[in-house]
Amino acid sequence: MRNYFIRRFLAIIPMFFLMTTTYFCIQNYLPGGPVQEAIARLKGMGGDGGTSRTLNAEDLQKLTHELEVEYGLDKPAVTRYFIWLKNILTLNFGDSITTRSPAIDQIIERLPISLSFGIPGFFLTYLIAIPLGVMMALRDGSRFDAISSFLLFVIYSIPSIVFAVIFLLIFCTDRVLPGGAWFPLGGFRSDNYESLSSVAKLFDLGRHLFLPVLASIIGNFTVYTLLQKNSMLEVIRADYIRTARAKGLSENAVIFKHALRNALLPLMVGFGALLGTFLGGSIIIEPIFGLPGIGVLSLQSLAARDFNVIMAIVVLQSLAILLGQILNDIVYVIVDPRIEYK
Amino acid sequence: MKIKKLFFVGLLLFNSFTSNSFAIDEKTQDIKYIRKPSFYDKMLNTKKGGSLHFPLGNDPKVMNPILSSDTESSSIEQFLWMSPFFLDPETLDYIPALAKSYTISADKKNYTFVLYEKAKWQDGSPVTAEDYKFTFDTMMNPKIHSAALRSYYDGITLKIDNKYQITFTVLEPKFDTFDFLSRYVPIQKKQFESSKDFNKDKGIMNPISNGPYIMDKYKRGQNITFIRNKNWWGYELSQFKNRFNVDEIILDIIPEPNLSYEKFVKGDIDHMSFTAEQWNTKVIGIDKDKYGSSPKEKNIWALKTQNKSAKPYTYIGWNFKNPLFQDVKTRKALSYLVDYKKIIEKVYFNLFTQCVSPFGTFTLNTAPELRQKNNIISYDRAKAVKLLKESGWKNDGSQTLIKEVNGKKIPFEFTLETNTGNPARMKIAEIIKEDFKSAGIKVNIKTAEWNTFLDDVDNRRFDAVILAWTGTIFPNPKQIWHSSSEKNQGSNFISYNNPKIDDLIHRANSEFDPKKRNTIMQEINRIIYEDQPYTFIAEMNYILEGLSSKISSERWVANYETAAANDLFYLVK
Repeated sequence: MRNYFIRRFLAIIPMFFLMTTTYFCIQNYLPGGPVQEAIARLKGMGGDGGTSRTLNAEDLQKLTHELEVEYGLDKPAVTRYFIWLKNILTLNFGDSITTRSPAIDQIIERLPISLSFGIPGFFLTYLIAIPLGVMMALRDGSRFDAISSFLLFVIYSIPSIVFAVIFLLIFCTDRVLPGGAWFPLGGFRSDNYESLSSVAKLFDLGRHLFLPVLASIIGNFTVYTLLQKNSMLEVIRADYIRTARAKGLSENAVIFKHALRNALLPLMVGFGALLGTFLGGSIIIEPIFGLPGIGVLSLQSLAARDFNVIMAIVVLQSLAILLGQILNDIVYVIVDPRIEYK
Repeated sequence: MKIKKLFFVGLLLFNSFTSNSFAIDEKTQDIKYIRKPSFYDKMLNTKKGGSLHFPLGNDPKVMNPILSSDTESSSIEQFLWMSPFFLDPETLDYIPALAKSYTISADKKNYTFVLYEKAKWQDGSPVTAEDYKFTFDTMMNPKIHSAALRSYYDGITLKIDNKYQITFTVLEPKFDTFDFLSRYVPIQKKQFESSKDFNKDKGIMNPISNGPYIMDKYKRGQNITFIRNKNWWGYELSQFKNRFNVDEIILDIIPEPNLSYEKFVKGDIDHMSFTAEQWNTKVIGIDKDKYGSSPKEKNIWALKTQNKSAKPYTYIGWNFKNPLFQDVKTRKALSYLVDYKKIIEKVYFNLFTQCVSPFGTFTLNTAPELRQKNNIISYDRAKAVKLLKESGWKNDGSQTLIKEVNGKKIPFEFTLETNTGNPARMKIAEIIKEDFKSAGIKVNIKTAEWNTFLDDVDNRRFDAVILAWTGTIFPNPKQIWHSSSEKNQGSNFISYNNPKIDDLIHRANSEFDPKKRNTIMQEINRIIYEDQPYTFIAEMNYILEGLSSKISSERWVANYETAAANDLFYLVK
């Protein structure tokens, strides 16, 4: 078993290089870039406002070169890749083109925001899906099962972006509810957050994050509930459960000690992958609710071709996914001692 | 979205480098500033206090005027820093800010500014010529990340005359030289002089200002708070005494425009600029009851006022490198096939007007006769067909017109490209495709993400594009229309080349008399309109703003250019 995990850890290295190299190549072959974009803005191209001055063609060559130096793009892509690689080994992710501060600082700054709705979302997904799935399985065929199955399918078929917008319009504006909005309209914290007591701070965070969490878990929790139900159904029909009952064990012991443990296995499949999504934040939920998390950062950095920030996010996410898979294997062993890795 | 600037609309007098408030020295022929009372000196006395929230589309990259190159960074400059003079957006008169007077030498090569001795940084130290010199030297240092700004100052030097006087010397003076020198913003020498790496100095995000506001708090991704400097030196001057009344200005960072709108309606933010579509479907549509027509009726009100300055204009650019568009008759025919009325009605909800000039259809730089409807190109299929025939296009019975070029038969088919994320441009492309099809011209629509699209334009890999240019108060036609602007991925990406235009541009840019310059600009406009290198489509006809009832003003001017906007607001509640 130890050897297996050592091998798994070692396998991270080539996987990691493959992932980041692929990404680096894709990025470099994308047309356009930060220099072109900055110059277009200075020219007033696009009509979104800009400079009041004129940018004549005579000045462009020099300006292009100076901007390339500023953004660290004046060297060939291969050289830049090796510089990047060398830096990454010393945990230096480079500077962001847009903020000129270290790329990693931006991620560190925004990670708590993504995590503060990612972590509750993660636990809530399991906290709802497992008991609900078990209950549905135990009452298979009942009216409760039929209604909840129907509702789950309806919810599943609506994309989370739609839920997010509907939640925002109903609960955060004065448009629908007679008494006005229940929740603040977007944002992470209130303006007076710093001056609040710690209980009030928690309440304030809760008010801001309740709907984003709800909107973000909807897709996963419906799938997991149905998965849990089916897996539970399969297990309680198995021979060893019949044996357990025949031995005279109490129903609770049969369900929670014998059946549930085995029925949890399929749900654990997604566990590792979820770790990656945590770090990635949500590119759907965050912009809608005005949460400045990693999801928003990814979108902005991609649009601005902010190479170092994108690469830093890719590195962290790749690592999280790879480690998540190993974690998955470990959890498997804990849940099911019969599993043995060689 | 940048914080839109609201000003007072009036007759825009397009002075090129200086206002009427000057005199010419009989002996030296130098131009000397004369202080005359402006609107600001006569502003009503209003109570100071309160707090306003404004939306900001993204985090500013920097809080430093010489490193700033993005719209968000420039949006915050107006709260923090002063320049020697600022522009009254209505009269285009220069009003003293950090400097109390200027002198321009007769040959227009020396620009001297005398600073107010009372001007202070927020730490109480005086703003001096040393600060200017330090700022200038820092900006011109090639190691400093100020390439965007530096490129405008090539051939300019700055010298200290005395503690409170500086002189810029310019190798090649142009019509707008005074304008951009008068708006040069200094930073404090003391804050940065011992900095080891200016580009990464902590002071860049912790500015020491000389303007009416002090940056108080910045929570990245969330908001920036500015508080009013109650002991600000400017309050002693009549032009500032009754301005900058709001105690606290909070810029809320809201990247999603729909969220900004909902926040405005709810009262979380106090000001926003509407798109034509928002105005049509929401402000006068589903949310009609929420808006008052003046500050006194409801919590929020909507302001619609005629646009009189240069605003962004949308056009189709025809690539002259493509043989299809080299003939003026063909280009004209294409312009006659564009249904402007339909576009303005369906895409812009009649809030835009047909554009006839690259210099702002509403300004004195536009030929007056082109302001009359019967002189401009409008949808006329018969005329278009006639022009196409004259230009050699034939109908051989197939769906698409054919022309013989260099012994080869070519069909009239091209790709019309625009960027994604701009629904208006996409709708225009669809309308054009349909109308052109009926005349035997096949249009393929291509949309690309902004960076990819820019790459196509910069490398001239396109047939025709739908795009827009930002309008400017003092337009310099050289950037877009001069034949030399084709090289180095310059802005003349359609490769337009007209020696007559080149000559007129040269004359316009060395003409310092505003009226004479207007006449030349009008001539440029006439020739360009006759040539139709662009099919000019539409320009904003109205300024559409949403305002909280806390905000009021005696006159409103909306203008992208000068940055006096929010300081004109004062609280009525």
